[in-house]
Amino acid sequence: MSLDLESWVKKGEELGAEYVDARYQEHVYEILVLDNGVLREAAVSRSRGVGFRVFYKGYQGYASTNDLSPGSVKRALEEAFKIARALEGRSKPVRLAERAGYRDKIISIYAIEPLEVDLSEKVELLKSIHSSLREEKALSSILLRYGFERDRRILASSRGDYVDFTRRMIGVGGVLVAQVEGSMERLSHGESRVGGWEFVKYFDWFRYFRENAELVVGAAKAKRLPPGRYDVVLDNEMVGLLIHEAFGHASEADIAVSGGSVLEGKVGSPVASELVSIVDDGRVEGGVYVPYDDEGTPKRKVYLVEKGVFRGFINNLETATHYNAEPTGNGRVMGYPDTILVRQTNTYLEPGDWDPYEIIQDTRRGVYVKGRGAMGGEVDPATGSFTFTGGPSFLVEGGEVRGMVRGVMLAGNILETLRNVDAVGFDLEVKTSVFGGCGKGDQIVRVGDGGPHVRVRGVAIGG
Amino acid sequence: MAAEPELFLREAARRGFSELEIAVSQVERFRAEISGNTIKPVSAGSRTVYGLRGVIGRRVGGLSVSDLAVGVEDVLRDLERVVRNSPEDPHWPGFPPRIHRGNRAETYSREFDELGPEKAVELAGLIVEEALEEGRSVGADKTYVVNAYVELARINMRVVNTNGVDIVEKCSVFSSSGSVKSVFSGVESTYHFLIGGRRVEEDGLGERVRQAVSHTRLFANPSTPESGVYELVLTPRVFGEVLTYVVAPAVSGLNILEGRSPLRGRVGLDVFDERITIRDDPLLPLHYGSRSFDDEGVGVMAKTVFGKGVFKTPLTNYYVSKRLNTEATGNGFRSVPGVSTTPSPTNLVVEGGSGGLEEFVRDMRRGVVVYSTIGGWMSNFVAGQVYFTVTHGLLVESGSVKPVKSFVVTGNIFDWLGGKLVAVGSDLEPNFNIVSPSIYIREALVSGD
Repeated sequence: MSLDLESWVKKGEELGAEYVDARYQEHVYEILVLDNGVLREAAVSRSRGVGFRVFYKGYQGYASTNDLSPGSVKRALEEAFKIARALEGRSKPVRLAERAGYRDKIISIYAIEPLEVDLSEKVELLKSIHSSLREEKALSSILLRYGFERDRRILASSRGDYVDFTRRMIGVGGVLVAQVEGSMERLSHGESRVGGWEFVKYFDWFRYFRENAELVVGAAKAKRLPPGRYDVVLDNEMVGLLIHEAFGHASEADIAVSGGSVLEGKVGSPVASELVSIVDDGRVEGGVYVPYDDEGTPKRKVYLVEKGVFRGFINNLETATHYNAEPTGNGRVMGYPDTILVRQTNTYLEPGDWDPYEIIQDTRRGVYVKGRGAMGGEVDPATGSFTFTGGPSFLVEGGEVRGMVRGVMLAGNILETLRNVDAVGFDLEVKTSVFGGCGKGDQIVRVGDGGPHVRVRGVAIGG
Repeated sequence: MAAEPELFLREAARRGFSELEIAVSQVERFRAEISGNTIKPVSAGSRTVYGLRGVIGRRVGGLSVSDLAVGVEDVLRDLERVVRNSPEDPHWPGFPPRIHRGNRAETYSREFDELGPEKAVELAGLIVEEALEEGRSVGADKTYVVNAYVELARINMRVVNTNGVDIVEKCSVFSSSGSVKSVFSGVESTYHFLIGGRRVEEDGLGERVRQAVSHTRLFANPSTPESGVYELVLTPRVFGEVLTYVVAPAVSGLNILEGRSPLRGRVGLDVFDERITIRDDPLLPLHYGSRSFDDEGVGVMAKTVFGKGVFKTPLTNYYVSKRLNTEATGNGFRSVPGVSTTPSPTNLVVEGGSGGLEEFVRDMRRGVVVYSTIGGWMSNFVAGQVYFTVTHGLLVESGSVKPVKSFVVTGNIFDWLGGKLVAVGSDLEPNFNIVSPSIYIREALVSGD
């Protein structure tokens, strides 16, 4: 990289700024889409740019450019300073939390660089999967995807931070559509990891997609669940969605500072069953790897909830000052042009001591909600309402898994639903995705989530 | 790089590409955010992205580059590597030729020539002022803007290909959304607003903010209704969202072609009640989805997608139109330059009927009126299945009206707009690229208490 970020930070200080941080990003995204056997998409996106955040008397301005010529970078830095200065008297000054400066260089672990693997090998994999799925005649559409992302971010700041971090993520996914006697159903799902081509090479995709095909064909024949409240057993992926939506967002301190979280004023209060402990951690097997956030703060493991009690918010440098708390390393951006928000990294529910099979056996009547085919979730942290969907799921009767039902939508309230957790399994699993992420303030960032199997009593479900 | 498309065309010819398409997008944007009544942060950014799609024989590949330090030769070398390693697309029809239909949409508001971050800050200030004033007028003890943003953008696009397309389109974009909260005797209540278009709509923004604050009174102290079958009224905004999530992907020619749409094989057939007419109209002046050309440079046209309940035409890009043996409708749009286009609507406009929310509520015996939802984007268009969770609704029962929240509403779009349709309102409201009225449906499933 030819851009000397630290010298640009100094130039910002010379303009009169009390604090400057510069975020440089090199981003590569490779996508292949095989649509019913025809390669619909073979594209690579390469972007590079720099964004500045400048503080003047506590007022902050952001500006960015992807033209890295000295003149253009200088204009962006001056624009950020100009915006910060113009906000004097029109905004409220803020102070960033004090901490030591960090200098580090980290590259996430990988064995085989995916960009060096021939494109034809990747296409061949998708074609083989497609051929194997064609044997299932009920599938009316098979769309397969391969995705790879290499994201290098360098952060330099007035505090002396210089953090250079590169992460590789890779995955394969697909959307299968089944048509059975005029009834259509779809299943969209994928598997991703932080790593290189070795993950794709050694994963048993044929078995994985065969299972997905069986699920979607079964769902097309299945009935819809009558609306109502049910006891639910959630699998690992569904617990991840529940925790991320039902608790994670409301614990983001910027939402709370703005007055938009139902958790404001609840630190130290019981908010969930005693069986529930929720963690946000940037270094978890299977999850997204976030050793530092985009402000250069090391990401540390944080308990949002410990044995049912709300322990505190996740913070960036600004909200940590507001709450007089330690920065937790959750200041993140989608890309170099974006403004710092408080975001989750990997949010998961800690395992308990139930065998997942025993949870089913112990459930007299309910629904076993599965994550394969789940579309995601959404929350309104101000009202406390949250919702998420599950994939094709199963009725539970007399402690046994019975017939399949089509995908369902679940809804609840942040301050009520987690109080109704009465069984937590020991089978922790955390996942992430290279195909999507979590959206907030028009920014999407990669996240991970998960947990063990969990039972929740009395959840509203629509089918 | 900062190169003219002609340079790419010359270098592509030298390298043996049979076709090339270059889409250049230059975006300048200014954004002011609000957090707890405070305007912060404010940002400005400029970005140029080159999207290239190359063809050698029937092998097709794409490259999106926003690294301006890379040279034209390097970019085309990378593109060539992608294209030569791609398998042939047996259906490849070529990039579109020059298709101009003589339609020129108003896509740029001249006021954007002079706009910068200070205007975004001014509009953010307006949001706070309007919210506080309306809060006083509805008798709230306290009102504030929880969070919001205002964004202004200038966009220049140029699309050039080896088959004669060379178009330039200049667009302006104004968008804003946020949530407001009021406190009434210790009880908190929130509501959301949003607005978007190609002109700065100061009056419209103020009105939406005031309406949101006014709704904090309407929706204070909500309960959750019992599970069951209810009559259903969707406000214009919520009906627009349902169209976006369930109808728009179903009318995509690509989804129809590839067996992912329930509308496959149904062109010319009755699919909805005869009171449902929906047009795709890119020519509405300064509307959010208005365009003169699509992202492939094909001239746009207004078209009826559903006329009196009959499915008239799928939306297509050039590729899909050739495979369906129909006319390209000028609906080829893409998320980022360099990837292939997919058929998407410009502005979807529902023809109004008669009546509106007030009349519908008056006629209801036991029903819910839905003002705001979450999760509607997870609806299953393949099965025509609508799902959403209501965050702000009204329960109408035996003449009484009370606020409700946190329940799931489900149903099938072909039933809702077919046999279960009671009425289509005349109260058309634009929300981004959808213009829709409120709608009254005889029954929907509610999962609540």
